[in-house]
Amino acid sequence: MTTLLVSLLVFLLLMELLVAGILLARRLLSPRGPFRLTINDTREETLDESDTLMNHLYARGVFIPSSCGGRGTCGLCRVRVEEPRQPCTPVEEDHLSPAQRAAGFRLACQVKVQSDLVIRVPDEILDAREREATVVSNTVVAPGITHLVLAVPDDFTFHAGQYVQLRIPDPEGAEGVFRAYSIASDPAIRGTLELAVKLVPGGLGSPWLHARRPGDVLAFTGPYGEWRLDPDPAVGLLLVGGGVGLTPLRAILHEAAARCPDKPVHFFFGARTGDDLFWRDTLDALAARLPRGSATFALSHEPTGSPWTGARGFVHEAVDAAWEPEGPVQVFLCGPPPMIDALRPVLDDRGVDPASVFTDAF
Amino acid sequence: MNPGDISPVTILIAAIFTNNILLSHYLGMCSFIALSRRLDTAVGMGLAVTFVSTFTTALNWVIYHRVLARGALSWLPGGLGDRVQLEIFALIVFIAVIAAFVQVVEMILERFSPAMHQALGLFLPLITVNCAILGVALFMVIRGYGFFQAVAYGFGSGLGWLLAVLLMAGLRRRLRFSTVPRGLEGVGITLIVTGIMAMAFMAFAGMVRIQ
Repeated sequence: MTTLLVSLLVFLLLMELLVAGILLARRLLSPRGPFRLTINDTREETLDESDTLMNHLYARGVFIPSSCGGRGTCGLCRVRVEEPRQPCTPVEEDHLSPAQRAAGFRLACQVKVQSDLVIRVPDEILDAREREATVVSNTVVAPGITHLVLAVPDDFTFHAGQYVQLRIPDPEGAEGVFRAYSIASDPAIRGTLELAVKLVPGGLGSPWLHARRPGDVLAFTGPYGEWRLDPDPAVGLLLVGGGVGLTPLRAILHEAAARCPDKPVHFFFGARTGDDLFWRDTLDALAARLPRGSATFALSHEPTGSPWTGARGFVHEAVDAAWEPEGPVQVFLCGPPPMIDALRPVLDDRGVDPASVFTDAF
Repeated sequence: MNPGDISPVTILIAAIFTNNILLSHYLGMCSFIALSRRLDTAVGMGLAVTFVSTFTTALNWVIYHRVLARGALSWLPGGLGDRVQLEIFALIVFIAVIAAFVQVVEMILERFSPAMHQALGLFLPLITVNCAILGVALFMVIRGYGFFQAVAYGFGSGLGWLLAVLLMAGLRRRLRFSTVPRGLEGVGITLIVTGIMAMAFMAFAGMVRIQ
């Protein structure tokens, strides 16, 4: 018995020593604040402890966009770090172009604050504040996709193609986490925000949003995003969406129908089967308001022999078969990465200027 | 030959070539497959493995022989030291020592050498669960190495792992331009090539022998 007890005691003592060693090293080696954070030369903050830049910014009400919760996978939380200049980590290299890296851009979730910092963020982000939205309705429109209609304050405005971030309660953190969702509604209509949320089983955001009921209140920030529709009627428009990637394109169609109905607008939507098509009536009605417009729906896995009379196959095949640019064109692609990769050669083949192609892969 | 009589230099050379931890024991495979895709990550990870393996082997040797081994605590009063059974904890203690060492090294690098931390920082946490490092610590005990032999074995095993991962990164660069059957792309062909490489390394077998 004594042998066992003493053995266990020595073992536990050894483990305690290791833990004490780590804690001591952390105390001696981790730089501790206060650090000074200067944002856009106008705002100064004092940071007491070493943490990621993103967490510090969120704690101070600067809501930079992020949809992955700080894991370095979405690449949205770009900020320009002017002082001190540090090289990017390999995680960031995947999300930043060489030009952005040379200009000092970093992902805020990967920057650990260990000294005074001078950073620059777009002014709209400094202005973005958290607002409250009330759920008006939450309807499942296709398997796994819900159409969430929110009542928002009237002073909230956005451009077609922009997105908002919803605060999702996190069981592990008191602050909650943010998830980005594109806005689907007409930018001209104030006070309403429509989103489509695809259910990701086991995810944090989508199951929670699917469970919201009318009257529930949730918090959001934004709008974010640099997608802007070119109002020039001479510039054509190609919109290609896959699955829930349809969301920002619906808002762009609304804006195009209202502001520049003479534009040649070609809209393609890819889904697996007829059941996965949603908002078809709204999209057809919008296309009908655009005399030089067309809407094509392509189904990749529709069973043969079904009454479906539209295009069959992947959406990039439908674009390849039916689309020719009629001059300069602006292209918006939103959907799964394989769809966007498959569309690039189609666009290159038509001589589309890569600078006029806007993509959102998720 | 008694393991205690082998010179550390022999052990070092054997650990790199004839008893390569990866190619003869197939340890440390997961990071080997994941990080041999690019030459720069292979070098980074290889150096990190070499560094950690050398120092944790030394550390684990001291802890094993001064605390865990039978009779190491014989100075305890009442003959307790001779009765305690701590060898069974060797596995878990080695894992904890490796994990703690990696954490502290990461903090030291972050503080004093940000450039080095940038280069190796990503790989250090991966090493915590690299079975090659743990394997080295366990083999050192089984074979009854002395301190300098153990350090040479740890250093040599790290270099051997670095050599294997570098060779594989070079091969995989060429594999990218070869026609690989669809079902074997990626991990499948990498494992087959590793097997062939292991057979090629058997040519070194006559050079030195430690076990």
